[in-house]
Order: sequence, then C-alpha cells, then structure tokens
Amino acid sequence: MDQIATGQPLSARHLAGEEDFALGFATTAELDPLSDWPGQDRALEALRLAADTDHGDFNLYVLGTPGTGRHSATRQVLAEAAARRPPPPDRVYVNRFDDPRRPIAIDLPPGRAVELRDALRKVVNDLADEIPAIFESEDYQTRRRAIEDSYSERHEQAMGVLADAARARGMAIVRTPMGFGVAPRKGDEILPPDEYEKLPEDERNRIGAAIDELRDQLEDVLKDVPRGLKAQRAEVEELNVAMAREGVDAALADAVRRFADHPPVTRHLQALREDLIDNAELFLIREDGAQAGAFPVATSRHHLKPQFRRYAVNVIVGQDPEKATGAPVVEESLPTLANLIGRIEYASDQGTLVMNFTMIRPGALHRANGGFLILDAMQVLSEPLAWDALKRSLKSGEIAIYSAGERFSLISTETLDPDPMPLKLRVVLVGDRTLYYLLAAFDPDFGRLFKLEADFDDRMERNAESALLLARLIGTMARADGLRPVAAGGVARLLAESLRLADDGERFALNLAALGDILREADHLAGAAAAEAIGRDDVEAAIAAAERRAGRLRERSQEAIARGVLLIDTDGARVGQVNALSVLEIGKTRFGRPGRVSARVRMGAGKLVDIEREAELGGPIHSKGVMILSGYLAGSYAPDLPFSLWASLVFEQSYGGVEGDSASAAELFALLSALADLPIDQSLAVTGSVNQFGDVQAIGGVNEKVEGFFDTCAARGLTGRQGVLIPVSNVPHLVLRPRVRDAMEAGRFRVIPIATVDEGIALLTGRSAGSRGPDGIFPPDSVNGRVEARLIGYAEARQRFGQKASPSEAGG
Amino acid sequence: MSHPGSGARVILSVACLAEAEAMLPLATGLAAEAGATLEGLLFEEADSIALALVGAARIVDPAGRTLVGLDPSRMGAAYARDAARFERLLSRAAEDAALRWSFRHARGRLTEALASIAAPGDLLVLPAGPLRTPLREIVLAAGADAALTPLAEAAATRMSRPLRRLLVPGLPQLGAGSVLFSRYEAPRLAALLAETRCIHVLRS
Repeated sequence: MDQIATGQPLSARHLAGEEDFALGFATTAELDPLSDWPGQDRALEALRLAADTDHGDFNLYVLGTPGTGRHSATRQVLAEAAARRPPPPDRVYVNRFDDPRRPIAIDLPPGRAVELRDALRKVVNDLADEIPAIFESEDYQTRRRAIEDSYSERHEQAMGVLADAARARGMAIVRTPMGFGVAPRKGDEILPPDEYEKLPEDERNRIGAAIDELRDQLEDVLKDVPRGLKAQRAEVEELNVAMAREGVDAALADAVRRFADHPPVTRHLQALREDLIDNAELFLIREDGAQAGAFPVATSRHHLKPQFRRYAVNVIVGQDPEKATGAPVVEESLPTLANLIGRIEYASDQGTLVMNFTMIRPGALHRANGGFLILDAMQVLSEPLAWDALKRSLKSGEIAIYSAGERFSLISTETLDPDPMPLKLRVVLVGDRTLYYLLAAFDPDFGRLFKLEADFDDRMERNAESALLLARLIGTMARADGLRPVAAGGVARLLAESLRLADDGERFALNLAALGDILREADHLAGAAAAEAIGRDDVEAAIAAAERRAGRLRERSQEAIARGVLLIDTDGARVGQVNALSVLEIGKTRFGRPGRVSARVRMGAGKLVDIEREAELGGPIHSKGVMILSGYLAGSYAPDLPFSLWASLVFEQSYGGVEGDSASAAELFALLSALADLPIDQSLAVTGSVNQFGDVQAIGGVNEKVEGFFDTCAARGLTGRQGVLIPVSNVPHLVLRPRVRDAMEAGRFRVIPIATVDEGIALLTGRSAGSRGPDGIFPPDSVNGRVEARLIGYAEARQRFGQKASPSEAGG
Repeated sequence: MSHPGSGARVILSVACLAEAEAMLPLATGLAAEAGATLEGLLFEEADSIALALVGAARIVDPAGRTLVGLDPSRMGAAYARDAARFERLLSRAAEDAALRWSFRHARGRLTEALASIAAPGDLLVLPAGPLRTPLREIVLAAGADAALTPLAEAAATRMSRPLRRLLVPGLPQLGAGSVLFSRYEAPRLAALLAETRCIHVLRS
C-alpha cells in the first residue's frame, strides 16, 4: 500500500480489497483440506491441554464470539483425544435385596453391563420355566406327599387308636358341624337319650368317666394337629428350598462362572441367589385369562413381569463390546437438572407414586463419565439447579441423583437413595466472553473447577500465509457441506468480506459461520446458473442479497434524507453546521447514517453546553468527548484570558440516545466554524474523535459511516466534491463496498484522511487553519486567528461587563 | 342352577362342611368323568341330635376345646350354616366344571335315606369314620362293578395318586386318606360305615 498523505483524497489502491489477493489456484478443489482452525492456536492449545491432561478440575471454558468455530473445534479436538483414551467402565444399578430403597451401583468392564443384564434375564426366563417344572415334577410331588402323608398318617393313627379305644369301651366318636362328639353307643348308633336316662346311676357315672377320659385324649389329639401342621410346613419349606436351590444354582451357574473374576457382581449374584431361593413362589404365579397374552408361555419374556423386576439389571451406561472404542464425547443440548444428573421416574400404582431401581435413568454426566461433556454455558446457568448440580458433582467426584422436588422438600412420597456413582470426566463449557467474566467475578467455585480457558480469537492477521490458510478453510467448508468448489475469484471476494467483517483491512475475521452462510447462498446461485464452481459474482451477489434483505431500515433512513425529512446538506456552505456520521446497529443490520451537528456561540462564563447531555440523551463517552472540546478550546486560544465563551452543541433531529466520541471532531469543527464565523463545506462529512491537543483519533464503523454518506450523496448525484474526512489512523480499516471504491476511482467521491483538527478545519472551510507566528499570534485571517479574536473579544466584553458600576454604587 | 333327576348322579353325602370341602374335588371329578349330575347332600344324622341330648355326651371342636352348653338348637343352627356353605361351594364347583347340580339337606338315618334316594347307576360318595385327611390312594375293590374301573383310573390320574386294585374280596384296613370304589349294597351300608374309616365311592 502506498504512503498515506493526510489532507489528500485516497485512491482505491489505498484500500484493502479483493484485488489484493493473488491466489495461485483455479478453484479450492486443488487445495488440501484444512483440519485445523487458522488463527486459533491459543484456544486450540488450551483445548488440547484439557483433552489430554488427567488432572482433576482442569475443566475448560471455551469462550469467544459465536461463529468462530468454538463448537466444531471443541468437538473435533475432544473426539480425537477421546479416541486415544480407553473406554470407560459400564455402570449398572441392581437391587439391594435387604434394602430396596438403596440400589447398588456396580462398575463393569466395558461391554459387560449388557452381558450381565442379558445373563440375568436368561436366569429369570429359565427359572420361570424350570421352577414350575421342578415343583410339578413327580420327584417333588412324591417327596412332598411323603412329608404330608407322614404327618396325616400320624394324626390318623392317633385318631384311629382313639376311635378303637372308644369303640372297645362302648363309646362312639362322630363328626358334627360343631366338632367331634363323644357319646355312649348302642350297637352302631348313639345311645338314645331316654335310654341313657334310664340307666342306673353308677352305670351313668362309668359312662361319664369313660367319656371324660376319651374327651381328654381327643383334645390332646386335636391340639396336636396344629403342631403337626407347623412341623409339616417347615419340612415342606425345607423341601421347597432344597428343590429351588437346585434349580436356582443350575440357572445361575453360567452367570456365576462368567463373572467369577468380578467381586461386586459375584456378591450381587450371591444375594440374588438367596432371594431367588427364598422367593421361589414368585415363579409359581400363573397368569390366566386375558393377562396370559397371545403367546404361549414358552415364548414369553418372563423377565418383563412385574414380580421379576427385582432381579433386573438397570444398565445406566452400557457399551456394545464390538464397538466400544475410546472415551465418550457427550454434548447435552438441554442440560436440565434431570438431563444432567439423571432422574428417578415414578409410576402411579392405585393412586400412589411408586418407584424402583429399574426406574433410575442416566443423565449426561453418566453417559460422559470417563470422557468429555460439552455444555452450553448459558443453558446450564439458565436451567434451575443445573449449575449447582454440575458443580456439586465435580466437587464431590460422584453423581448423586435427586430431583428438584426432593431438593426443596416438596415430595413426601417414598423415594430411592441410590449409591452415588464415581465421576471422572472433563466438562467443557462453551459460552460467550461476558458470561465467562461474570462467572470468574461472582462464582468462587468457577475458578477452582474450571481452571482452563480456550479463548477463540475473532480475527487473524492478514498476510499471504493466512490468506492461503483461509482459502483452504473455505475449500474445506465447501467440501464438508457438499458445495461446489470455490473459484479463486470467489475466494478473493470472500477474503475481502472477511476483512470487512473484521472492520479491518489488515485482519481477517474468523467468523466462520458468516462466511459459511455466504458460501452456501453463493453455491445456491452458482447451482441456478449451472456453474461448476462458485465464482466471484456468485459471492458478490450473495453478499449483496444478504445486505438487501437486511437493508430495510437503512433504506428508510436514506429515504428520510432524500425526502428532506432529515435535513442533510450535501452541497453549499454554512456557518456552525457540519455533517457528522453515526452507525446504527439493530440485530444483524448495521449501517451508517449522516446527521447534522450545529453549534451556536456567544459571550459567557466559559460554559460549553452539550444539549444532548442536558436532555439526558447523551451517554457518558459522548459527554466526555464534549468536555475534551472545552479543554482544546481553552488551551488553544487566548490562554491568558478568562475563557468567556458560552456555546451550545446539538445533534439536529436526533431523538434517540447519542453515545461515543466519534463525533467530537465534527462538533469541534462546528464550534470553530461558529467562532470564526466561517462557513463549512456541506459536501463533506466528518468522523473522528479529538484529544485536547487537536489530534484526530480513530473511531469504529468507519466503513459503514463512509458508505452511509456516500449513499446519501449518490442519491442526490455525486459531484466529485463530496467526501468524508476520516482519521488517518482509520485508513487501514477501510474495506469499502465496490460501489464506493468505483466512485473514488472515478474521482466522483472522496475519502480524505486527516491527522489534526487544523487539517480538518482547513479542508472544511477552504481557509488555512493558521499557526502562531514568532509573536505568538495567529494570522488574523486564518481560522484560528478569527477564533482567537472572537474569544479575546468575548473576554474583553466580559471584563467590561464586570467593571460596570452597579446602580447602587452610581447612586452613592 | 340345579337339574335334579336328569340321568345318573354323583351323590356327595356329608355330615359337615369340613367333610364336604375334603371330598368335593373327588365328587366333582367323578361327575365330570361320568357325565353325571352332581348332587350334594348334607345329612343330619339322628345320632348327632341324640348327641346333643345325652347328658354325658361331649363335643370337642377341631381346635381341641370342649364345647359347653350343648343343645339341639345350636346343633341345628350349625347344620343350617354348613348346609348353606356347602350349597355355595357345590354350585361354584359345578359351574366351574360345567356340571348340572342339585343340593338337599336332610335328617334321619343316613342308611335309610340313601336307600330311598339312590337309583341304579348313581355313584354315592360318602365318608366313614370321624377323620378326614388328604387323599392318598384310590382303591378298587375286588369284584367291583366294571363301570367303576375307568372312573377309579381317571380319579387316580387326575389326583396324581396311586390306584390299588384289590384281588381278594373283603374289607382291608384302609386309612382316612383312601378312597374305596365298590358296589353299593344297601343292607350292608351301616356295617360298612361302622367298620371302615375311608372314603367310599359306591355304585348302586
């Protein structure tokens, strides 16, 4: 780029643009794909450290502007690191048979959780067939019958002996609805009552004694029945247990053998075995009628029946042994409390909420355990209790499952208290910078738990190497999205747009999302034109279309100027009035707009009235800029005299807030014009801030500001005199739209860099600013000379005004 | 719903509900096998009434406690209660097995009553002796009616109990868990019941 001369219009060759890029390829198809993210070395270093280190608390916050590749880089780096790590253990919950409220957590080698689950399903399915078969078997029935018969025979024998004894003594034992009757017998029948009454008393006494004796014995025999039944039940129970044990051991043998080298599973299988034996009757429950289902029992999946849930294995984290490679990388897009730490589901059973260990559901922390968890910082912070739960889990190194209701004691129903699962993972939060700084400032845990930050830059220095990297990145993006290759012209236009997005001709913006959007739209246009590659015109058309879509407000603004609603002069000259420039940014729309700044002056006590501030429409930085003007005026003119100026400054027709100091140069020029009583050329607009020594300083949004005034002038017809004064330090930031560049090249529009206030006022008034001569006096006809003369005049007038005698003094 | 008098019958005669509960499965199975009507008979033996009147007589309940204040009205109420329950049990069992059924509650001398009720081809199911235990075996008497053989075999199969065929005529010592299939001989019924303590299935 040529040396910049201040006070002289720039030519297009001074501006950054697509012409700057000499790319040595025809299309991006010739370029090697780029697997890295150019310009993000610092962030990638942090990402790789977080991914590779095993130290706890080296969790990572990825910060940066959206669209800079934070998510894709995070995903890729973590995926690469995860592939190098061993797969984490599988994790299951099983029933604690002696306390079902506290399910047991068990770790298993990768891929073995499903194996255990399936093995125990098979055990249950097998037992559901085998236990009924065992208890229906001839062997069991015979053994059980033998037990029952032995007791009934014993009882029968006792009753038989008693009946024989009764019969021998002329008594009968008969069965009645009220029990067993003992009475004297006559032949095969009971002695009739009338005959009994006729018996001699000693005979009746003998009968009575015999009956009482028999009754006592009968009582003993009958009282012995419950004892016998109890013993019989115990013996049958022993038999049942023995038979069930046989079946259970046979069914469990395979599972026991396969998990013999895993003590926690072995312990569980032992407890399960005891429970199966104790509750073998569960397998004897038969389903009848409609509940039996359409399939024969042999093909039913018995493990699904409610009574067998206690033997299930709830796989919280299970991997397919065939595919289990590397650690997991989990991205949870909805990090609610439940989605993060898991939840325990409820079911309604006859109006009561019930739960069991099979209703424990894993959260993202479970799924990512042993690997990486990617979360959106804003989402985590905005979900109730989620951030707190995440920190608790990281601090304690384990995942405890609870619900918001439990946390606030809102649930009174019985709940589960599962064993916490050990947690070791790397959490990666992706968020914006503001959130990062807020967390760092206000959450004391944040710095301890998230020791690393990956700060994604939003711009990259422009040079030949970085341009080629970006070209390769564009080619890679096109390839990844299935787009056409991009021709060199298209790439150059995209690179220029990247400079424009950075607001800097020497820096590429790393807003990959924005470039990707343009690329996809350009590809669509290239497709419509049946082109094989995305050309320069496709990219230009896509950019223009995007601007047009977002241009409604800009057009309305220009329309208001064109119709004279907003008063902006683009020719002629006027005292105390200058065209300033501002940038409006609403959503994705960002455009420049001219505005009129005016100044009025008179004698006063050294006060500069900022009307925007007085009306509470000016922000603090704007007010600061205006106060700097006071300093400049007071220090530059008539320093030996009291500052006796009253001046007012205002943005004409501005009804919203005014912020920033980029109009302070324009305000100063309006003031100087008013003080010098010299008109300002209205075909020029000004942007830039000033300091107290009169240097013009860089401002933001220079491209939009220049284009804003250009569009106003273009609407009225370019004269060749029109132009914008900008700080010379903003020249490297100029990446103007082709329409402006073309006009500059054709000499129909000017962009003039200035370094000092004197340069600016000279250009605006067409008169030399003037420097103090050896006598310390400005040339009288210079701008500065006229300003100082006016200020001296105000000071003298003020002095005279102060020396006038008051009416009372005159009278005295 | 009862349909008395339609073809052959299986008549289950008991003295109390406990006996009915113990023997109803056997009687229902026989009726189903024979395609017969199931008839329940709760019989108030005259001896039982006498029991309530003889001053020296004692009644011991199944839990082994001697009952006091015995009188015919209490005994009658107990019979009525058992009769109602027996009828409910009978109806449920018969409906489950899709059998026709009937029920009667009678008083007097059982032997005489059965002689008047039983018709040729009827099966009488009745207990002997005071004690009832789980069924342990099916016994087919020597010289029993040929029609009883398939019924005895079917009962043994259904209840998974052994079937014992007696080759020598006469009454063996059978326990309360035995079921003896034999011919019904009205004149000998009283002696048969007095001398044995098993369950009898008699074909008239």
